[in-house]
Amino acid sequence: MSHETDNRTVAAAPGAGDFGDLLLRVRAGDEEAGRTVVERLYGHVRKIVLAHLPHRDDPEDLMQDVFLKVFSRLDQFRGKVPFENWVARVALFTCIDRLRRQHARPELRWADLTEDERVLVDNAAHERDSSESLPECAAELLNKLLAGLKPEDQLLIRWLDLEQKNIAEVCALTGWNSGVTRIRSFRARKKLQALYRQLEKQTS
Amino acid sequence: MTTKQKLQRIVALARQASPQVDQTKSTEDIKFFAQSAANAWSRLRHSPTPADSLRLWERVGAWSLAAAAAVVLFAAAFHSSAAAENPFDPFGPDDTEETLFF
Repeated sequence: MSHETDNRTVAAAPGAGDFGDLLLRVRAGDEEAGRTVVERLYGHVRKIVLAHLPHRDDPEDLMQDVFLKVFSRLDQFRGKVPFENWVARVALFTCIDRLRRQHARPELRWADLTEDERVLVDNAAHERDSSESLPECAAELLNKLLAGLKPEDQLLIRWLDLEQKNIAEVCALTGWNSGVTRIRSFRARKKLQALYRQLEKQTS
Repeated sequence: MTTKQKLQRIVALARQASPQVDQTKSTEDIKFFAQSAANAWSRLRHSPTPADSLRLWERVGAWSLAAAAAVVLFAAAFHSSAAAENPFDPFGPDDTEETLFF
């Protein structure tokens, strides 16, 4: 009885949109409906996974994890946000979980940098113009520095500084409030600066 | 120049880097993926629920406590009956009457 009520809640949830009927069938265990949901959300989830993909991870493997989580936690979808946004949040936190598992907090050493990356750090240290350096080289150096941060901190720096998203967009992605997001981003930047200072010390 | 400014320069440069190009997936690829995801979901639904590790440890704790209590009670009962059955045990306690008036 309560299961039927839950099913009706999922289908009638305002956020379910045109997924309502499909979700009802998915909850009843209909594989065909599950396949249709996956096909419709494939591009949406792939974009999120690729944007936050931990290094050397297979996107399809991570995407499968996302869809399995979506199906097994469908009863948690209350329809307060559109279904696509809810799925995006599940995808995002699946990526964070994967990053957390991989995270070994390696200390970045001068020896780990390529010649171009060393030149870039050297130019920045001596206030020389680094316009000759390749943007790809800067992106790779930033990736290496970010690898020393917690997954949540990595994402905050990527969103706010690299992709130049605003606080409201980050809040919508993560579900955190603006105060928490501001404090976390402030701490994340401080940690990144500390990592960079450590790297600079090794040059001298 | 502060560390913050240096990092800002690096981030600004990194922003110019071209984003990773994702190969467009064909409809067939998407259908294949959807099928494998649906199969994995089906397997997940039909697999037995894994044991709750917390409950398992609770059960282990309760059983070991019960076993320890049983061993203590058994040893205590055996010890008292053994002493009563063998009054000539050289390592047993002396009778109070015998030592008191010697």
